[in-house]
Amino acid sequence: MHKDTLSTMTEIKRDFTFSNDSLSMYPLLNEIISCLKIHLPSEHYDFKISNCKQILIELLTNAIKHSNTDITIISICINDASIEITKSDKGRKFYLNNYTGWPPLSWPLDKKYIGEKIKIYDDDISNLYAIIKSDNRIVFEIDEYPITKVTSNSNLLEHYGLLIMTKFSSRFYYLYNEETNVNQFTAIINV
Amino acid sequence: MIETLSRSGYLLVKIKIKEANLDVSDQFKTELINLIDQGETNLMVSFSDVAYVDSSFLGALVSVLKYAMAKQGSVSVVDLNKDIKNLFTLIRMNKVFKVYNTEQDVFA
Repeated sequence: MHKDTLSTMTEIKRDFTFSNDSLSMYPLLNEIISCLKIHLPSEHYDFKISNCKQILIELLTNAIKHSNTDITIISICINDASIEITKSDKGRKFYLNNYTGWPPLSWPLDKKYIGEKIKIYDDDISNLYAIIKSDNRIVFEIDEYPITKVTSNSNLLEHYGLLIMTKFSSRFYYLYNEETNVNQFTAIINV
Repeated sequence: MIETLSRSGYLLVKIKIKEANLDVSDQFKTELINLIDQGETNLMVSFSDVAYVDSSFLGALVSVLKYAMAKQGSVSVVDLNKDIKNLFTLIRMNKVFKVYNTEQDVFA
C-alpha cells in the first residue's frame, strides 16, 4: 500500500450493471474508473488504474461479443493488496475450442483434466494457455517469445481480448458455477 | 471515420472517432485496405482523437498491417494517449508497429 493512502483501508466493493450494449460502454467505463480514482487517488496508482481501464474495456467487449445474454455485472473489490475486477453473467460458458481430445470438454470439467494446459491462441510472438485448476476453474497464462523482425510471413494473432486481460492482470481466471449457472471472469491487479 | 492527408513517403490516416471499438473495427479495416489497394501502401495511423482502443480494433489494425506488408508496405502509429501507449507496450505491439510520439518525430 502506498504511503499516500490510508493504512487502515477497508475493503470496498461496488457492482455495476452493463446492458451489453456498445453505446453504454464508454459511460460505464468512465463511471467505474471514476470510482477507482476516488478510492485510489494517489498518482502512484495511475499506472494500475490504466491497466484496470484496459481490462474493463476488454471485459465489456467480451460481454457484447461472446456472452450471448443481455445483462452483465461488473464487480469491483479494492483492498490493501489488490484491485479485483469480476465480470459475471448467465450467458454462454467459456468454450475451450482448441482442446483436441475426445470427448470435448464441458463444464463442470472432469477432475481427470486438472493440471492440463490447453492452448487458446498461438502466434509467432506469444502463446495463450488455459490451465485447468479444478472442475470449475481455469487460469490463463502467456508464454512470450522474442520479437525479432516482423515480416509479411509472420504469423500474428488478430484476437487479443484474453491475451490483453491476462497480460494486464497479476492473475486472470474463469470460473463456472454449476449451481447458479453463473460465468465469471476475474482479473486481479496487485497494488 | 477517417481523414487522410498526403505526406512525402506516406499517407497520414487520422481516426476521427473517440471509441475505437468493435462497432467500427470492420469499417476501419475495410477503409484502410481500400487505401492500400489504391496504392497507398505506407500508412501512418494517427490516434490523436481516440480515447480508447479495444481488442477488436487492434485486431483490425494488425490485419491491415499484414495486408500492407504483403504488398511491401508498412503501417505505423502516432499520437497514442497514455493508456493506448500502455496497451501497445504491454502486449508488445510497439515491436510489431513502428510507434511515433508525434508526426514530427518521423523526420527527427
